[in-house]
Amino acid sequence: MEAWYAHIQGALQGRLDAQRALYEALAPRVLYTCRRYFSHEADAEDAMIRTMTTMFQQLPTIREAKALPAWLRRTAVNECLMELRRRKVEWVGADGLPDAGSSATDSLHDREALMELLRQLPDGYRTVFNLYALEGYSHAEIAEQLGISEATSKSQLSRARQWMQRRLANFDLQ
Amino acid sequence: MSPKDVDKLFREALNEGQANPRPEAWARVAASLPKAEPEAEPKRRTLWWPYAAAASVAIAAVGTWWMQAPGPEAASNQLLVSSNQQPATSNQLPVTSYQLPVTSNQSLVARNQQPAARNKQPVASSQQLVARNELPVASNQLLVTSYSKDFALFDVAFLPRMEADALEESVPLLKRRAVVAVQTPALEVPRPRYLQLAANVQNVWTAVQEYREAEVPAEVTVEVHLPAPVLQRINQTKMLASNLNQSWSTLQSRRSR
Repeated sequence: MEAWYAHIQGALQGRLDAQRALYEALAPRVLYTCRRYFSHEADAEDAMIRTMTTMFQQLPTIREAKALPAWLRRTAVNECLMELRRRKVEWVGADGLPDAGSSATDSLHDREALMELLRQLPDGYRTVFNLYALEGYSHAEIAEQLGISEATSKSQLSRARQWMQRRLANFDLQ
Repeated sequence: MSPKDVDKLFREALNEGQANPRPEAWARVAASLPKAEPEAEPKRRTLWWPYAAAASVAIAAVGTWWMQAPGPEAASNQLLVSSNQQPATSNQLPVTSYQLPVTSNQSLVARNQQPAARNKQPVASSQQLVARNELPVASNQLLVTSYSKDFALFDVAFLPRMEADALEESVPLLKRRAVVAVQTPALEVPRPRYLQLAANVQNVWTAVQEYREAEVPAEVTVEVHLPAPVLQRINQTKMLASNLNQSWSTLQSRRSR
């Protein structure tokens, strides 16, 4: 059993030390998920804070403590999507893509470099790519979540992949 | 690299990971955390023995008074009668409607079983009261004893309450033989009722005072006599109530300090 599990009871009792321990154990995972959806650190941090606040509020209602990480991830993704919907993501075409040749990453095997690559994508591309490739959503589900058509979801994913392929090719050439 | 390879690459690399948040983030989360209920302060230990002592004293006082004070039966056979102070002579005494002979030195006790105020028969002043000559009492001695049963049926028994208007209505009907009878509590009347009795007696007395101040024939005077046991019981009860109230106030003030 992971270390965070031991702090749930204390957090439920309202003990600040237990709440902080639970936060410190789970917040990095949440922030990592949120960073994939936003290009700015502050936005990701805001989404993480909202997610953790929701977790502490909903903690008494969560029956299976073991399912808390999965619950947190779903909640984090939903928080990110809510914020993106609030911002009215612009579903740009191919013209809106950044230059695939300019990259500051050093290695394809560097996870942080891949993260930076992902965060360079426009919001629409990045969101659809995240939901489809990393969260496992179908296009129908993505369309429902984002309030777009399935065709838009597919085109956004296709363009994101193409851009990624070009960037990855450039990396390979380096 | 195929599109599926791109997906796989990112999924494997970014699906799980951790990123340390800034330390300031915790403060923002903590600001919205549900606060733990503060631990209740340990209850101040209450000194129970002063209350127990006070309660014991109060119980002992009540018990002593209860055992020593005369019971209601001692007072119930004494009746409060007020009347005019004119000596009742033989020709002034009422002649009963039942034609009972009365003598001049026999006190009269009303025994009319019909309300005097509702008596439809025009009665003369000398026929107002029914004589009952069981005890030889001086005509001007208005404290009559041993007639509680008779007075229980007497209409002009002004308890538990008699207003001034009622007295004024009743006494003229009785004409010269005005009788104000205050029936003492019956056996079943609980002792705390004496407090009420005290208040009622005060009402009667006020009514009599008002009656005196009203237009009353000069020859009629009204007096109210309270049997000694009744007075004693009233005073004891009032004193006990006063003492208990004072004790309670003292306890309250000590507790507030």
